[in-house]
Amino acid sequence: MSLIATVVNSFGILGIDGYLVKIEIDTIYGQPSVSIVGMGDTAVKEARERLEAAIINSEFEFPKMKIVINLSPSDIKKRGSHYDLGMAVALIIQSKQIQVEELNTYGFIGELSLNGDLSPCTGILPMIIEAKNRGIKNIIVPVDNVEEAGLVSGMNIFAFNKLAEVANFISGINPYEAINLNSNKHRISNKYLVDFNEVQGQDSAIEFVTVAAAGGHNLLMSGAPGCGKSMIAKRIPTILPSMTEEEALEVTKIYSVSGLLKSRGTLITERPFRSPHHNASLNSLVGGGTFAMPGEISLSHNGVLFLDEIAEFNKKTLDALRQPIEDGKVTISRVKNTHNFPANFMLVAAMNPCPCGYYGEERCHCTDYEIIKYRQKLSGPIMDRIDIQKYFEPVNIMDLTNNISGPSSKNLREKVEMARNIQRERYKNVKNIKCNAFMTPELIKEYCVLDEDSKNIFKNAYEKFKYSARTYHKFLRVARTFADIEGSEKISKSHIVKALMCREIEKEQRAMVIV
Amino acid sequence: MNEEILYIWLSLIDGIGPVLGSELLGKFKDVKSIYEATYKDILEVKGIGDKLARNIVNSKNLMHAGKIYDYCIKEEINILKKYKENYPTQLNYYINSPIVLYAKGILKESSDSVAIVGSRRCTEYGKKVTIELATELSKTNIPIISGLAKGIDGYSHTVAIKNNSYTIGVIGTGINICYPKEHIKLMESIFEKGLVISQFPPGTKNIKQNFIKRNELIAMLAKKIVVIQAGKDSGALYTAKCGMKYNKEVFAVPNNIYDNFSLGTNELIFQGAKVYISSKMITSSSAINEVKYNTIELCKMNEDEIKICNLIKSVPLTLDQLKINLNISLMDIQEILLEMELKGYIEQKRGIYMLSSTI
Repeated sequence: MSLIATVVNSFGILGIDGYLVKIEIDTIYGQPSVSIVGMGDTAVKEARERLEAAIINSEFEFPKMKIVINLSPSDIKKRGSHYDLGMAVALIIQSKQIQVEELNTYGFIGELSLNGDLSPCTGILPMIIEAKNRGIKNIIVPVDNVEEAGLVSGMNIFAFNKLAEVANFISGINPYEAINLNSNKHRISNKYLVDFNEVQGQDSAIEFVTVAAAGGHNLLMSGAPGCGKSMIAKRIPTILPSMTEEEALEVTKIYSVSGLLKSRGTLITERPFRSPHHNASLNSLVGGGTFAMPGEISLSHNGVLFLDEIAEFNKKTLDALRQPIEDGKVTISRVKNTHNFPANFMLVAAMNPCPCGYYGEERCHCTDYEIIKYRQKLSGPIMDRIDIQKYFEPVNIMDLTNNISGPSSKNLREKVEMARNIQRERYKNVKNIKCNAFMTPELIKEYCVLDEDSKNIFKNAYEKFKYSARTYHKFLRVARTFADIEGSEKISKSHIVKALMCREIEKEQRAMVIV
Repeated sequence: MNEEILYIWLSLIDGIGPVLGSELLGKFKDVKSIYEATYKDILEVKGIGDKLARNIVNSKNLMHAGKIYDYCIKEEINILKKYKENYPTQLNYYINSPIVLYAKGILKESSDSVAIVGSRRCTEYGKKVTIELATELSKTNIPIISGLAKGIDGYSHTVAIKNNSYTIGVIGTGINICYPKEHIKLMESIFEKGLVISQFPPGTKNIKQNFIKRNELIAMLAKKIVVIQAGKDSGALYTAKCGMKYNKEVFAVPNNIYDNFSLGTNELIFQGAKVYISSKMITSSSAINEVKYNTIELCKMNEDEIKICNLIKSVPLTLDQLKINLNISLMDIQEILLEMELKGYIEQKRGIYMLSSTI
């Protein structure tokens, strides 16, 4: 038996990032036992039972000694069953059953079954990224995870089905037989199942949705039940510009950690669309838990977070969204660690205009007090962060029967991409700003110059509708996007007129008959 | 002994309502003598029998009344006594007006006031008529009386308060209880700028029968009564019927005969209520026959604006509907509509454009 401990590389997950975990194994003469230290959870602790069975069933010998396994760094809590493979390999090496050269260039990820088979696990992508950063070139993974692992370029990924195969490979007995990958899966393609042309009779509303998508503006849709709010929201991802490879990797990483990669190994190329139910808890929305996990807002990173019936959400839960909307990320603090999850999403919200839902129609009998009270469920700070607040008309039944389809997603996306390109060009020298929605006051001053006509309209509107002063910048940002979508360099009167149409709800609230 | 406490005591006795209370006050001239009267004296009053007389003589405990009095002093609630100073003079003519009123706010002469009543659930039409009428009344400084309930009542009070005009809220609960709760802010501002009246001692919860009594009180207080909207068995109808009984001028706003919300008002018209056509009918005392309609300043508008005005005059339209009817590009329509809105010609509600109610 060797006199020094064997050390193999594996990885853990902290937040959504991987970190290097060294599995150290030592065997000492004494009562045969296995103890695993290093703050593992139950899945880690139970590894000892899987280990023994898997090693014996792979026709190796399980050393009858006192075995100590340490997962270093020992002061970070670890969880998951993916350390199994590393432990088993380390144990076989420690007991001199195989010999491996350059062991420190290998990393091991995988769960063991009692038969010695390798089972897939979650969070592969961030672990491989960490391996790459650490310069660990050779990674052993279960076959089911090979595609996901392959998303990171410049790595040697070795995928196996059984522990025995792994042992034979690393000890140099058998060479690695490459597994054929379906490389088509890696290409970024948009294959959404829905399309905007299925939305009928909402053409004028779709214009505002397009603008929201083009400028990255948050959107609030208010309208009677059945007017197509949810239908439109679901189609917003289809008109957003396609994700860059970098963005796709970010999204895939988050989904990998959350165990939500449905088809393991494929890059997520569609922008995510998340619509949590309105009784979602604060933690499920922003993320949390002992092992802090990404919440819905991170799962909608680079995509759309749709809050249907936003007025029904818990006020506290909604207010927690304020910081992420502003920063594009969420910080979750635990005693030992602070996790930063990306949360750069477009907020799309839908609500009824009044308690009965039919506001403005003959059958609505809600009093102004009731309407105001209902709308006040959305706190001011949240409303402030929503640039476009639009009423959606109930769909005219004739439009449905006439079967006139609206503009297709493809057309709309072209418009959006064009507007985004203009914005990218404009903000190429400004850090952290990608679209109009995030313009700072200085940038607004520079890029939103108004002519006399527009200034007059603004002045009259503010006098008439008594908007608060802080809405001014919002109007200008939206007007900028309207100009961009038309490819116009200057903001003209017509853009201001349209921007002024984006705050109907607030305007109306001032006309309500209440004390 | 404090007179207010004795009045409260009298109003609290079981079996003594406004009518018998007034009879007693009429007979004994002042409330102290009622308190000190013997069984025999009381029996002489019209309508009081053996049992009730005994009841009055036996309930000499002033504890409860004293407590209410102390509470009223603390909360700055005025106790208005029938036939005395500050009691609304128009109520003294009725035998069945309450002998004690609890009032909070500014006491003011209100005999020429107008009551605006209607159902709690109203339509856009009802709201529009209410606001128009209440605005007109506020401008001419005629006090508005209503019941501080949801809907029509709330709108009329709110308009008065917003225009800094005097308004009286007559409520069917104790004066320290706000029903419905959503009107708490409104009630507080009426305390400041108007007057809230209740005939029920503080602490009285919302009981159905009390609202009917409240409605009758509104009918007694007001000089004119306008029923905006009322369903088949609406409380507002009771107010109107009382008003007719007391020979008040009762107006009803006509509406579609198939509209559930106006069955009551149309029925009132059938029974002889005056048809309300214009707010001027209410504000000007003399020329009722001469009805003036609010006219739109068509002369000031340009061609497109007039076109749009004519389109939405009777039926409010959405942007898309306007686009179909007009031969103008969507962009231009949007601009014209905004201009018109800024000039105050039109209003929009949930994207539906309609003529402004204030021009």
